[in-house]
Amino acid sequence: MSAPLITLTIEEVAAGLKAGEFTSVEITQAYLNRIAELNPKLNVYVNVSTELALAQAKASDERRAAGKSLGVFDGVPYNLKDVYATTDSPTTASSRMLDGWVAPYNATVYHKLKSAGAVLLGKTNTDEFTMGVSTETSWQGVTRNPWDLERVSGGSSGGPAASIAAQLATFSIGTDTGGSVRQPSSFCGVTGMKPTYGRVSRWGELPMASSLDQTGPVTRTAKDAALVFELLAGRDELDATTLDDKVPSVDGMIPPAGDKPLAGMKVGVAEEYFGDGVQPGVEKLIREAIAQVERLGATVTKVSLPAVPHALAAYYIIAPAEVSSNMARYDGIRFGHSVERENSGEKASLYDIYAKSRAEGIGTEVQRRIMLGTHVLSAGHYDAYYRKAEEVRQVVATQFAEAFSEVDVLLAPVSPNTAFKIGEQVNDPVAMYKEDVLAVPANIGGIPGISVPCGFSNGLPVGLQILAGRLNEAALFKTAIAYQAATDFHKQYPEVA
Amino acid sequence: MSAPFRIIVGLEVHVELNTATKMFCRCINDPFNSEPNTHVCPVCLGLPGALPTPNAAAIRSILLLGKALGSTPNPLSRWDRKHYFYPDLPKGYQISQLDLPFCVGGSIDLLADDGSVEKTVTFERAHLEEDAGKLMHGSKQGYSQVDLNRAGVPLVEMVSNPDLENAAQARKFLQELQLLVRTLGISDADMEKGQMRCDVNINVAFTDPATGKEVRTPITEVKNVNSSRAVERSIATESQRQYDEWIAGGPITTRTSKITAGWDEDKEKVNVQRAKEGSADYRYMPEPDLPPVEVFKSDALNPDSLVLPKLPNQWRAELVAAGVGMQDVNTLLTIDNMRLIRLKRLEQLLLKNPSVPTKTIVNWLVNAGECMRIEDTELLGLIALAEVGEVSFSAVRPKLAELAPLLTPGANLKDAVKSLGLLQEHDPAVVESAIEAVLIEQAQAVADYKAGNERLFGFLVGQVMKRCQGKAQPALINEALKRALS
Repeated sequence: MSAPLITLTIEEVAAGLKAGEFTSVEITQAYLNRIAELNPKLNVYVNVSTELALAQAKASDERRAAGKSLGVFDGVPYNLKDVYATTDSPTTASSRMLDGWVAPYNATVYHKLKSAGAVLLGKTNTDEFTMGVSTETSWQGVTRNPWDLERVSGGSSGGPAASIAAQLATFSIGTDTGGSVRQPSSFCGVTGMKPTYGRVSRWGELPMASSLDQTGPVTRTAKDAALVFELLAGRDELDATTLDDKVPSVDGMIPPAGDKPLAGMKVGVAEEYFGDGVQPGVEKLIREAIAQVERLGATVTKVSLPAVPHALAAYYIIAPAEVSSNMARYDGIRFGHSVERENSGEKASLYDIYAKSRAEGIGTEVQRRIMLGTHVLSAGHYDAYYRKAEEVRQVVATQFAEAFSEVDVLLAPVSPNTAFKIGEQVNDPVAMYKEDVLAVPANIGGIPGISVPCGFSNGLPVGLQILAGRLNEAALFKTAIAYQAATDFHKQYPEVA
Repeated sequence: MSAPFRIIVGLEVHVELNTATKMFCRCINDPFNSEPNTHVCPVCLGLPGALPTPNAAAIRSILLLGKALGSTPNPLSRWDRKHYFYPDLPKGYQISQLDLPFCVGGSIDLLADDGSVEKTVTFERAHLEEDAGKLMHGSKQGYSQVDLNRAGVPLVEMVSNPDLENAAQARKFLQELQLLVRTLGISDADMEKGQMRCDVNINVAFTDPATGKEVRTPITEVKNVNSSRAVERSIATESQRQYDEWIAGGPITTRTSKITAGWDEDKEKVNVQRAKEGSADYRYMPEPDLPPVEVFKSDALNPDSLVLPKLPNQWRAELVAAGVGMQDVNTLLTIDNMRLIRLKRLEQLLLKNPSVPTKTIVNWLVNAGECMRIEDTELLGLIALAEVGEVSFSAVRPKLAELAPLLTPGANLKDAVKSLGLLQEHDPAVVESAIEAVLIEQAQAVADYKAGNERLFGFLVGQVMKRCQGKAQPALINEALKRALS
């Protein structure tokens, strides 16, 4: 194999390690070198766990030498979005509130990856507590888009997406609450997937909005994403919201050979996803991708999802409500940023410790959402906002269920636009919120979705969103894998100079 | 004396469940016997990313309570978050239940001494939640310290309707609830340890002397009334205070919302000066980390499969029917700190020998408590000896502490009794001569007895016994004396 190690997929790394073409320490070191070189430019990693990574890689090589390899993931380097609790590296949610915090326990996601032998390179950047669409709310600063350093990498999983585009890991793990895996994957030209709500355990995942958060992989290919999904999905006794349903195997997702691999598949297109605000360049590429999927044998039909345009409004009620609740534990008393601990000697009242620690430790956007959420949950407002939003959520879920009784997958844009310039929208929160408009319905409906690269508009990547019915990740992966077999957009990488 | 107003009272009673582990994590539920912050984990510490998982045993406990109260189990119960900031509340919210609690409705009967229903108190609901931690003051200068061993301990809140009409009734109600949860074995309900806590909602109704109209004062919710005596006192003082304030034309006459006030245990009064008007906004929302619970769809939780023990009012009905007085029944129910130890013993003894009258065993259990130290077989033997008169109950009673250690399993009962001089000897000749002597000595009493004053029989028996000096058994004296007098 002659391709540089940093360009390999999970499958290729696994094959190379198995064949003895290189070691886990070698590929890990290759990534660490590249991170050292590019991270100052891109700001992808918020912490690099060099020693841990090399130790895990060495242990993997030793297992392999002893004939005790743990399988496909053993020795494969990856990173975690900075929201997973791990005992051996800091977890900060890119917030000043948790600066330097090391969890005393491991997230199930990390436990599973560690048990599979994967090598943790470090934690990657996110909007603060995953609230944002550009990583501009990160206390660690913005992650630059490897395709254009003046532009954002998207968010909140901007670090994970940029880490794959800039070849700073073989794969990455992000979270998607309202598009936070899919939108940055679209902006960075990589593959990013959100499973059905409840597939992957949230134990140890620092929450944004608990009823919407879902872990998903960011990878070079849809097949890789399917492999990570298969590893991470499944019931976890530590997360009461995880599902008992059987996790589909990757083997069953591989489309048949030939030029009509999607024959018999029904694909839906809903015009609600092509409304005002979708850039013509983006729409053109999505329509071409739909035509491509049709050429692969699928039948394309129109479906109607009239509630979808209302999902965003519901999202910006439900999500801030849960945010205001989930953020309450950051009170400056037991952990995290505390004015009392920092200015020891100066006496502060209990209220001052709460108020000042939170004011200093929590950034503007998170504060904004705490206030929004506090408002919508207040006495007299609950029925007008939260209850209504929950009703919208039910309607959206029902309409998706109806649509997916007719079609196997839906095709749509991930985002109405390509990556925007850093600073361009920071003073326009509503514009920022609208970035999520096409991604959020999947979270509100609890269904799986994936973003796969489908071309470039003005030199910037565009993602095709493939959505499937609840628990039907298999159809989504099958379509994505077939599409990637016929296209090479996902194989293109930026020159990071 | 009757007050010029009618008292309207409802209670909110919190009970800590005695499950092995906490409500939403598997930390040990033992906040009283441990060093601070030893039974804690990421869940009950509220660490970022930790998630709750419900304790099925705690859910079964509240469903059992609901069954005992005759309440309706909700087919679908939901968890909700109740938000407030306080250092003993690690997550900044308490997981509780708002509009879909586990149990809806239900009631409990308070019985009069004759066994009739004196008062039925109905319930609005009973729900499950988690307890908060505990603040400790004074051990560190300038700071309070937080012990989170109690954080996450399962807590049942029972909310009664405002059915209670006076302070004594409220006290009785609280004690009856305590007896009930102990009978069910779901809580130790020790109020001194805070395992049972109470908030009291009080207002009064009366005819306003100024207008002649019927008025109702706004409610005062008195928090942390943590003994049955305090419940009684708080109702007595607060109801009078509300009435007095109204008559004096105070602010209570124009206020419409309720106030929340604390109970000052030392001063024995409601702290109205620091009362808060209106209700706090807890910004309840459905708990997204926990799916709703459908109890009838779960084998482990199905209320139909839960079996109730015999409840206090059933005990009362059965024992009164067996001829036991209500006083003795209530003593049996409450004597060992309401832990029903003697009732369980009664049940056991009756099972071993159903021919002994219930009333007889109850007499021993209630009036000769030391008999609890004697094993079943030996105790039943002793009771049998007393029944035939070979020992006397009144002679044995003060000696039980000495007797008990002698009655090891297999020991000879009569030898043991004899060694303490408790075996009643019986010499018919001694009895006969004693009777002869008494008939002469007490000729007047004998004549009166024969004339119809039957109460004198006991007196005459006593006189005979005195002369026999312990060498005769009462039952046989009775027989012989009756013969002699007929």
